[in-house]
Amino acid sequence: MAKIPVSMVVNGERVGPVQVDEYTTLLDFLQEYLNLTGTKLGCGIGVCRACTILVEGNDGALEPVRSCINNVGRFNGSSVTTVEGQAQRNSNGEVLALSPVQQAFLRNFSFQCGWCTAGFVNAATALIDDLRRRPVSAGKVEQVIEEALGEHICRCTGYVRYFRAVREVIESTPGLVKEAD
Amino acid sequence: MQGFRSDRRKFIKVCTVAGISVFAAPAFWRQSTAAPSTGTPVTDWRGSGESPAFRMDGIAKVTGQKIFGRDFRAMDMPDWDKQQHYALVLRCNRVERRFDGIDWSQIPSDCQPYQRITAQSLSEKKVKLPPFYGDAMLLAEGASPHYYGHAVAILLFDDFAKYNGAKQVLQFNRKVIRYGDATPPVVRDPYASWRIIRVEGPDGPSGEDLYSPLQDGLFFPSYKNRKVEWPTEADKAGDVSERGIYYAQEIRAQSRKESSAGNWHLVEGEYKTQIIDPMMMEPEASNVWFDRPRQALHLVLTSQSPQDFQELAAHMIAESGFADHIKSIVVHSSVVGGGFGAKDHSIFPYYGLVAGLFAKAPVRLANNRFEQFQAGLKRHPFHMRNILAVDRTSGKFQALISEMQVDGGGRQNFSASVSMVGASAIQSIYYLPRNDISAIANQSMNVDSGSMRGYGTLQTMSAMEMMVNQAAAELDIDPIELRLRNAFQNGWRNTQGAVPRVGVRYTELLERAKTHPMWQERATRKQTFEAENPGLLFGTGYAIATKDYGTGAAAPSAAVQFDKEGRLSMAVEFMEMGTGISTSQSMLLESVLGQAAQRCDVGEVDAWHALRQFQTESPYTMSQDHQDKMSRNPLWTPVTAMASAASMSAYFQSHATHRAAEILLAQGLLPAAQRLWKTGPIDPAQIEWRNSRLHYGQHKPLPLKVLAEEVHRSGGITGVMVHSFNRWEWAEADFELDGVKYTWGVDGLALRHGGSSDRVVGGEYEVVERKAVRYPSTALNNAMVTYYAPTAALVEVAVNPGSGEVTIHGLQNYMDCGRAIVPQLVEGQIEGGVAMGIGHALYEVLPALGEGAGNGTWNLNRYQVPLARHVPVWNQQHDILPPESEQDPHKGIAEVVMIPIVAALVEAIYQATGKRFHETPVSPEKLRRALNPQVL
Amino acid sequence: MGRIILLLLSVLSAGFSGAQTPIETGRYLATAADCVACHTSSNGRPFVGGRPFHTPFGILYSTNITPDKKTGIGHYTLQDFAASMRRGVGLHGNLYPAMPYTSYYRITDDDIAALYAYFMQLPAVEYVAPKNDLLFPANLRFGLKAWNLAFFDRQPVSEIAGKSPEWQRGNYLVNALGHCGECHTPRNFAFALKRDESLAGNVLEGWDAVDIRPQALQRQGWDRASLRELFRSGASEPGAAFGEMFRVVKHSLSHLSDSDLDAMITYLLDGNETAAEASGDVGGNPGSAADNYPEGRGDFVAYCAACHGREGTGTTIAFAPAMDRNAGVRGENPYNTIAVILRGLPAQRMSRTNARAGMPGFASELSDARVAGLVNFMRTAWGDPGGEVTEDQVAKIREDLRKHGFIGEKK
Repeated sequence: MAKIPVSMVVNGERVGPVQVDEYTTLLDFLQEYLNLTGTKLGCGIGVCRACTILVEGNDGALEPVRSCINNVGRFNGSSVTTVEGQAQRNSNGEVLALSPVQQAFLRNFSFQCGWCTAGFVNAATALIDDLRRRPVSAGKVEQVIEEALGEHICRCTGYVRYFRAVREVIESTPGLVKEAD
Repeated sequence: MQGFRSDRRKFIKVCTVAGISVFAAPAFWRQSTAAPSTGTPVTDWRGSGESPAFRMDGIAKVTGQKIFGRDFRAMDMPDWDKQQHYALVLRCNRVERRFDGIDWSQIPSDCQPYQRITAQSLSEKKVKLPPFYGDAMLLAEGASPHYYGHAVAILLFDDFAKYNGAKQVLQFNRKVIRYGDATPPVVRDPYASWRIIRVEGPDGPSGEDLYSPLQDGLFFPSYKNRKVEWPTEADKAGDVSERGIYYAQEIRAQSRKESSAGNWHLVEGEYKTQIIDPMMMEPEASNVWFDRPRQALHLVLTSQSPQDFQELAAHMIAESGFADHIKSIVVHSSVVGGGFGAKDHSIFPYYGLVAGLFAKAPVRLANNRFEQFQAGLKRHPFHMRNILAVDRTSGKFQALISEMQVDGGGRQNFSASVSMVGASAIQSIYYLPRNDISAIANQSMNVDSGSMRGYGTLQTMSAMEMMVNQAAAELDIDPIELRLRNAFQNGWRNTQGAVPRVGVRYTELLERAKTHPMWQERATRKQTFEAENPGLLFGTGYAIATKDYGTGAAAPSAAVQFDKEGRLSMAVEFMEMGTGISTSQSMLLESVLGQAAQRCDVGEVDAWHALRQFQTESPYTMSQDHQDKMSRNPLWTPVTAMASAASMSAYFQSHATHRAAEILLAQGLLPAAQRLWKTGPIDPAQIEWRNSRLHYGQHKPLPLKVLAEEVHRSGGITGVMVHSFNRWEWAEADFELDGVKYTWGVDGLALRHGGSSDRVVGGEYEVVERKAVRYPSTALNNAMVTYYAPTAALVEVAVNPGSGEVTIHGLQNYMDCGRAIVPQLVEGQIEGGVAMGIGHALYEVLPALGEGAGNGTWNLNRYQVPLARHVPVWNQQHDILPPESEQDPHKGIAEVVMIPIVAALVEAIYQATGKRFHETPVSPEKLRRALNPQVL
Repeated sequence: MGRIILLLLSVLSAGFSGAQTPIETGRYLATAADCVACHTSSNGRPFVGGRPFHTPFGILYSTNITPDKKTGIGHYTLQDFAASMRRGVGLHGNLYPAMPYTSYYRITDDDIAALYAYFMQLPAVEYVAPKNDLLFPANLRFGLKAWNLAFFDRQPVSEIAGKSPEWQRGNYLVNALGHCGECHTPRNFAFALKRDESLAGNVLEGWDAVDIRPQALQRQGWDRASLRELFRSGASEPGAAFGEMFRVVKHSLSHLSDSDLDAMITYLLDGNETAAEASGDVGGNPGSAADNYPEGRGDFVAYCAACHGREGTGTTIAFAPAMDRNAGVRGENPYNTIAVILRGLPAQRMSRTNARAGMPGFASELSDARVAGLVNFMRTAWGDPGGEVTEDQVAKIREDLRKHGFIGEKK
C-alpha cells in the first residue's frame, strides 16, 4: 500500500498534507479522513450523481465532478466545494444563510429522504455558475436544466420539484437568461 | 443506570429482555440545530402561511448535516472510543457447488483483518439469527449455499486503508471463496399459503355471506414434496375447509357453465411481475461499539424498524455466549435515507451487530451499492393465473379466480404477509360476488424479498386493472363506465367478507377522469398526434387502484407537551423513510392546540416506558379468550410498538397524535382557560384557535402562552402521552380523572405536570391506569385488510414502433388522501410514486438466480431506475380530491400512487400498438419484437 | 464423424436446424448481413432508411428498402435486387459504396433469392430519405461507375483448400454477409478497400476498427469463449463493443445461431486458439512500467483506478473492465486506448438487463504528454505490444477527434 501526501482546499479551508493510500476515492477521503459526510455514496460507480462535488477550474468555473469514481490524486492541489460549503456559516458552523439553490429546494419541497440532495445542490450550483458566464434564452432554460441534472437519480420525489426549483432560481436571478438568440 | 456515565448522557431504558436492559439514545438529528436560535429567517420552517415554509428537517438535509445512520463515525458519538474499525462481509455468488472455505491468502499482506468471523466463530459463541430470519447467518464450510449472496465470513480491520485495500482486492475476486463439488439445490416447504374464498349470500353485497374468511375462518393446505396440496374434500355442511372447497368448486363450475352458455365473458391470463430492487438511495450501514468495560453494546443503524431490532437483538445476545458480558444495549436512532420498506426488518443490522460483538473498537459495516444489490431486500415477483368472469349484459363482475405463486427468495422475511396482502388486494376497487384467490409464498435461491413498497398489492392490483381494461375492450364497454358499474360501495363486503371502515369515494374518482379532455378526446388526440408525428404511435390508458394500508395490529404512540412559554413539543414512535412525518405530525397540532410543535422527535423509542405497558402473544393469532383475559390487566396491550412499514403515518400515527392533543386541550388548557375567563365548563365545540389565540364566544382571546403559563402555575396537566391499538377498528378505553369518567380511543395514557418543551422524557410522565378497555375482536384478524386510499391515473404515451421506446406524453393523477396535512408533501409523494411506478412498468428488472442481483455484479449501470427524462417532469397534473368534511381521516398514500401508473401505462401501450402485455416491465425489446416480427 | 456431419449440416442449412421457409431464411440472412443497422430510420423504423452517414465526401443517407413501389424497392425484380446487392447498381443509378456491395457480391444466389423473398413481403412503408449532401465530384452518381471500374475488384469468394467446412462458413459470414471488412479493412485514397490488407484495421469515426486478423486477435487476448461472449452480449473480459460495433452486436451478431458464431470465430482465429499468455506472446510488467512511466502510473491511479481497479483488475465487465487483460491495451495500435481516454465512452444499453456504464473523457484535463505517459504505463504494464506512444501521436489523434467534433476544443 503506497501512501501519498494529499493537500487540497476544501470549502475554502486548507487541508493536509494527509498521508493517504493512493487508491482512496475523493469520496472516501472526504468521509473517512475529513469527516465530511454530506457528500453521499449512492452507487459508487459514477452513475447516480449523489456524490457530485464541485471543483474550481483554472478560470474559476465550477465543474461538477463525481467524487466516487476518482481517486484523491486527481485533486491534489485543487479547490473543492462540498454541500457543507454551500451555506454561509458562523464560526460555530451554524447556518447563517442558505444559497439560492438551497433555498429554492426547501421552498419547493424538492426532496424527501435527502440522500440525493447534496448532488443536486452542487450540480445546480454549477449550472447557475455556468449560466452567469453563458446565459441562455428563456426557451432553453428547461433544456439546460435537463442537461445539467438529467443523470441525477432521485428515488423519492420524481425530479419534478428539483427541476421546478432550479427553473425558479434561473428565472429569478438577473443575468442568467438573455433575450432570444 | 448501571453501566453508563449517566451524568454525561441520558440513555433511557425501554425494557428488559432476558436480563438485558434495552436503552434508546436520543436521535442525533435535532430540530434544535435548525431552531431559531441564530435568529435568521432561514431556520423558521413553519413560516407564516397555511402550509409550512419548508420541511422541518429541510435545513439539515440541504446543508449536508450528519443525520443519517450511515453518516456517523465513532468520533461523532459522544463517549465512544474514538477509533473507527471497519467490517467487510464475504458472500457467495453461486449456489450449485459446496462452499469449501476461504482462501485467506488472497488478502494482501498489508491489508490483513485482525479478526475473521465465520460460521465456526458464531457457533463457538452460540450466536444465532432471530428465528424470523432463519438459520445459517454465516454459511458453514462444507455446506451448500442457501441462496445467491449467502454470507460466509465477516472480516474486521483496524483502519480504513486496510479495509479499503482488502475490499478492492476481494470484492470481485473469484478465488477468495472456494467452491467444491456440485450440490443439489437447497429446497424448503413454501413459507406460507393463503386461500380467500367468498360467495355472496342471498342478501347481496352487504348481507351475510354464504362463505367467507371473516365469517368461516381460514384453512390451510398440507405440503408434499415442497408443493402445496389443498384439501380435496368438499362438503357444503362440513368444516371450514370442506365448505371452502365446496364453494371454490362451485365458483369454478359456475364460471365454466355460464361462459359456455354465453352469459359470462371470461378474461383469462397469466400475469407476471419482476424482481425489483427498492434502490433506496442510502445503502444500509451500521456502526456498532461493544463497550466491554461497561458491558454495553451501542448501535447506530439505518433501520426503518429499530424497535423490532432492539427486542430481537436482545434475545439474540441473551441466548449467546456474550450474554454474561452485555448488560445493556443502546440503539441510536437516525434519519433514514430512503427505505421503501427495504430497511424494515432487514437482516443487515444483525451482521453489523455480530461485527460489533467481535470487534475491538467501534466497527462500521457499510454496504456499497454492489453489496446492497446482492444482499438487500427485493420486491416479491408474483406469477398469477387469473380468470375474471364478467356478465355480458350487465357488465357486472361475477367471479374472480386467481392462483398466485410468490417468490420469497432464500429467507422468509415478510413473504407470508406479502402474499396474503397481495391476495387480499387483487379485488382493487371492485365488488366481486364470488372469489377464489390463493397465494403461495415459495422459497427459492433468489435474494430474499421483503416488505418493499407495494407489499404485494402493486403486483396483484396491476393484473386486475389489466384484466378490467381487457374486459372493457372485449365487451366494447367504455373502461371507466365498466369500472363505475363494478365500483365497490360503502357498506359492502370485500373478498374477505369484511366491510371497510373508511368510506370509499371510487365513483367520484372515476367520474372525474371520465370528463377529462385526455379521456374524452382520446381518439382525436391520437389522430392528431400521429399525424403530426409520423411513425410514432399514440395511446391513452386509465387505471385505478386502492391501497389497503395498515397491518391489522397498529399500535402508534404519541406524546404532546408544552412548557410555560406555550412552546409545543412532541414525540412519535413511528419512523418513516422520508421523515415528512415530523413536519406533518407537528402541523397536526395546529388545529387542536393552536400552533405547530416546534420540535418533533420521530422514531422515538424510549419515552413510552412511562405507559408501563406489556404484551403477550402475537396479536394476529391470539384467541379471543386470551385477549379477554389479558384485557383485565390495565397495563396489557396487544402490541406495545409498531413497525414503520406500509404508509402508516398519515392515518395511524395521526390518530394517536390527535388523541394526545385533544386530551391535552381538554384536561390541560381548557381548565386553565375556564379559570382565566372565570366561566363555567367550556364546550370544546365552541372554541376556535386564531393566530395561536384561543377564542371562545365573547371572551377575550387567550394566547397559548398565557394559557400555558396558567397551567404550569396551577400544576395542571402539561403533557399527554397515549398509546393506541388498531385491528381495523380502534381500541377504546375508560379512564377516570378527578372522579370523572372519560372514554377515549386509546388504550394507554400517561400525564405530565410541569416540565419543558424539550425532548419528551418518559420519567416525567405518570401512568393513568384505565378502568376498562374494549379491543376489536380477534375475529377481525380473518378480515385481513380493510382500510383503503384510492388513486387513479390517466396517461398518454407515444411508442416508437421501431425501437420499442415508450415516452410518456401526458399524465393526470387522481387521489383521495382524505385531508392532506401538508399538500406539498403529498404532491412530492405522488410525483415520487409516479416515477417508481414508471420504473416498475417500463424499466426496472432483475433476472432471477445466477444472473440476478445475488451474484454481486449488479449496480445502476445495468439496473435502470427512471431518470428525469423518463418521467413527465414538467407537465404532471394532480387532482387531489378535497376532503368531504373536516372529519375525514388523513390517509396513507405513499405506496398507492405508483400502482395505477403501471396498468395505465400497459393499457396506453395497448391502445397505441394493439399489443397486450401481461408481464412487467414492458421493455423496448419486448415491444420491438412484438411490433416487428419481420426483424430478428 | 458426428462432428463432421454436424459441421456439414451447419454449412448447408445456414446454421439453423429445422425446415425454414425462404422468408424465414431471408430474415436470418438479413440479420447476418445487418441490413437493419444502416437502413433503420433515425426514429427507429426498420428498413425505411434515412440514417445519415458522415463520409469524407459528405453526408449519405440510407435508402428505403421496404417494398414500397413509389419510395422503396417495390419495383425491383430478383435481377434488379441481385444487381444492387452485388454490383451496387440500383434502378436509379449506381449506389454509393457505403452500401457494402463490395462485400455482398460474394453472397450466393440462393441467399440472394431468400433475401429478395424476405424483403418483398415486408410491410411497404412510404418514406423518402433526405437528399445526400455530397462534395463535388462525389455528388455525381455517374462517377460511381468509374469508381467501380477502378476500385471494385471483384474476386470471387475463394474456397480455401484444407479448411474445415466450419471455417468456410465463417469466411462466408465474415466476408460476404457480415461485411466485416467494410470497417476493419483499411481503405485507399478513394475510399476503396485495400484487399491485400484485409481485416487489418482501419480508423473510422474516431475509433479504430481494430485489426482482426488471427494473430492480432490472439495477441489482443481473444479466444473462442471471449469472442462468443462478445458477439452474444456485446462485452467480455478482453473488452466491449463500442461505436458502430455495438450496433453490429445489437442488431446482427447477438441474433445469430451458436453454430454460425462459432463458424465466424473459427474463421477469425484460424487455428490461433491458444490464449496469448500460454503462447508467451504477451508480456507486460507492471513493475518496470511504474519505473519507466511514474507520471503515467500516478495518473492511472488518480484517474482510472477508482473504477478499473487496483492493478487494473477491473470492476465487473459491465462497469469498468479490467485493463490488465484488455484487448485495446494489448493491441499493437494504441489508437483506441488514446481515443477512449480523450473522448470517453457513452453508456450503452443492449436490453433492460444488459447495459454498460459510460466513461468520462479526459481531453480537457490531460495534456498530450500525460495521455502518452498513461498509455505507455498501461501498455508496458499489461500488454507490452512494443513501440512507445509519443506526445505527437496523441496530439495527432486529439486533433483528428477535435476536427470531427468527437471532443470539444482544448481548454
